[in-house]
Amino acid sequence: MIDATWYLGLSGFLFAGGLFGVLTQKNAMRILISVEIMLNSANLAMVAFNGMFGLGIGNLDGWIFALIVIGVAAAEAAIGLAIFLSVYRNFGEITVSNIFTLKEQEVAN
Amino acid sequence: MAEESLINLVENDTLITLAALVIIIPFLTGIALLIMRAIEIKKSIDTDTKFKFDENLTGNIGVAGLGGSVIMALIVTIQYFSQLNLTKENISHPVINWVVGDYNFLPSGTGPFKWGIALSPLSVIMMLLLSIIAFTIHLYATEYMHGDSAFTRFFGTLNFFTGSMFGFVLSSNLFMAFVFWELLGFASYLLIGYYWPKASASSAAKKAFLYNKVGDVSFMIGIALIWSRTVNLTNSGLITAPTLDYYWLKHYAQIGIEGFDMAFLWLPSLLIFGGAVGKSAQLPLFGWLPEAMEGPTPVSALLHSSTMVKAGLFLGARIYSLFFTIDLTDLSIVENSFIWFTPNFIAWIGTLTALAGGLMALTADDLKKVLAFSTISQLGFIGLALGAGGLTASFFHLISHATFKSLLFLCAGAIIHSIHKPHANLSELGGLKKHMPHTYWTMLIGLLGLAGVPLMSGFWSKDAVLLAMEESDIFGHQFLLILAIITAGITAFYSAKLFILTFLGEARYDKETVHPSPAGLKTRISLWIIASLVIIESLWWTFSIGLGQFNILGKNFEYYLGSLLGQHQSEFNIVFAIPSILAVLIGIGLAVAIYHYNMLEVLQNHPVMHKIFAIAERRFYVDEGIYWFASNPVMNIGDKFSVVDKKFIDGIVIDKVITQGTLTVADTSDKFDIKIIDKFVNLLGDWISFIGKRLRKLQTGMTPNYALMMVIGLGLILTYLTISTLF
Repeated sequence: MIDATWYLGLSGFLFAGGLFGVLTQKNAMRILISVEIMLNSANLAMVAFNGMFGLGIGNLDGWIFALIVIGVAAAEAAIGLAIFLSVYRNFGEITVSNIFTLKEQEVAN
Repeated sequence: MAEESLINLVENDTLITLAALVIIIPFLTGIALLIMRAIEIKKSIDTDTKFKFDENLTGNIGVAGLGGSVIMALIVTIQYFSQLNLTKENISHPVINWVVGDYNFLPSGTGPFKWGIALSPLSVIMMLLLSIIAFTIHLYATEYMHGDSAFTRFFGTLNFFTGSMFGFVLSSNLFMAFVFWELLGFASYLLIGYYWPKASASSAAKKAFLYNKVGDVSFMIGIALIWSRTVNLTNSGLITAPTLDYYWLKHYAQIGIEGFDMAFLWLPSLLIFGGAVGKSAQLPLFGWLPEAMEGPTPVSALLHSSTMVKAGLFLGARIYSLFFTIDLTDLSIVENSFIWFTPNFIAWIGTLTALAGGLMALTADDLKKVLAFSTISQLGFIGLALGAGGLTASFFHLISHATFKSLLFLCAGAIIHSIHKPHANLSELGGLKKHMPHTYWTMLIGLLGLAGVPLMSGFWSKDAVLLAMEESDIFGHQFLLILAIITAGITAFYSAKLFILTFLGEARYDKETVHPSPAGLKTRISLWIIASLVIIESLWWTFSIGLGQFNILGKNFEYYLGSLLGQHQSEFNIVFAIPSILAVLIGIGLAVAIYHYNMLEVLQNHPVMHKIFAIAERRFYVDEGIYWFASNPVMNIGDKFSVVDKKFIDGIVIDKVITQGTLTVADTSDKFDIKIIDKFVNLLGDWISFIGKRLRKLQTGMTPNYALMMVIGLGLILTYLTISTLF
């Protein structure tokens, strides 16, 4: 049986990779993919923890939580894609570094 | 002579309600009329024309108010006397029921400050008399005041005035009496100053008000003394509750409580009588009454007959038991009349007033002023009877005087109305008999009453007054009696003079401009109503007192009245009456000789007579004395105080201390506000705006930056948690 620390190490590696992707990538699509990687690294960690600390046979808390996260991730992907589509329609691109309308507009005071 | 009958407290809500209506109805109509007057003024200003309600409407409202009072007063009188249960057996010493109803408008424990109605024989008879006379005068006034621009205001104020008098007469305690007393003074001020654009009228109103105020202050102090004493007696457990009720004061005075006897009561009763001196125009505060003639004649008639001037003496009769107390604990005090200071004072003041009033009436030329001075004189008679211990006699004279004096004033009003002049001077009248026969006859009846011609109403009542003085143990009562008899002669003299100069002889007015017209219908009706009252009184008293016929319960009128008021005196006897009859006849004879046949011119032109006339014309310098007192010492003291006021209070306290102090404090606090508080607030704002400006730079709008921030923040939190776990 493989020791649980290996799973956690893999999870940490995936999370760091995902985070690196989120911070460095300019294309929104790539950022979304990176976010998915981070989520799944968390899932992996939870399942691993369930194996490590889950007492008794029927204890599936970690599993159930992972399933919920997968569901949420699916929904998030759907919403994210829809947002990207609409952003694309408005701006003609989805390069996040070129879109900064969230910035405070200059107000005459 | 201080015998008193037993009194008994009774409750009877119906009777009290009816009596309350007697007060309320004229007040309501009066206030309604005054509101109508306000509407008139407003409409006149709005439309810029003279707007006036129909005189029939306003006059009828005014008369109807008094009509309601008369009806209620009749019902109350009949019911009251039927519940007294007087019979032939108990008539000499009956137990008199006082029907009393009180309404406490303040929380309990505050004692005497309450509205209340007390029906005693005194107040019931006064109420009935007042209502009948006032009703007739209102009826008369609808014609007399016809065409006056402020007709509505006149009736409003007149109703208000009469209502105040009802309230005063029926009040159950001194507090309520004082409230209505003041209302009476205020209403009289309004009525005397009715023609206020005239300078003389407005100054007469002021004079009446101020003279009355002097008495009012004394009245108020008297009430306060009695109140504080009853509080003390309550605290020491001698009586159950502090009180100002007439009933209880009378009761306590009768049963003789220690600390509530003559040794204490002489001062409060004297002070309360001081109020009566002002209101009833006794010496020295009589100066306002002749000036009060500036008001319309119906006002004079009401004021002189049964309202204003009678209020003072009525009050004296109300508190009679306070200055004639039976002190059961010390019989020697009863025997020794010398400490009865108050009765002596009242009797002397009354006699001197009577004499002075008579002398002034002799010299006055204005018709109404003669009557006014004669009122002063007759009020003196009432006062002297009160002081001499003749409660019954004084009330008797009050009744007869009220009727004939109102009749005389109504006649005077008819004459003034008829010659169309503001004043009727005796020197410019004469020969009016053929022009106004009704006024001639009614005035004859009134003057016969005033003169005290034998068998007329004034004769019987004046005789009772003189008899009371004869029987009293007042200091120098024989001397006062002689003065009173001389005054009776003087009264007869000026009555006859008035009659001769007005109605008989040749006309002395300007025949080109003055055309006397007979009195109108309503005037005639009201004249004859009151004239018939005088005749009824004369006939009744002649038969009852003189002949012993038509008696009530087997006793003559005076004895019956005495039973009701709880005080009897000896009955009329012809021997005693001879001096006064002689005085009256001499007076009339002299007047006829001098003014009708122009005899005794030597006497008229004698320098001594001139001197006496001059002094009487100046009103014995009493007014001058009062003016001097008001202008010199009082003004001097006022000047001194004004120096203190200007230099010290205004100069130092107000200018320096208060003004400067306030300014300094305000300046300091202003500086503190600007320099410290504002600065601090501004500093805070500046900081926040400075920080905000820097922080704005963080908002790049680029998503990766936000993500980076989140990561950095998360990293910081994790670092913190790790470090805090480690240590």
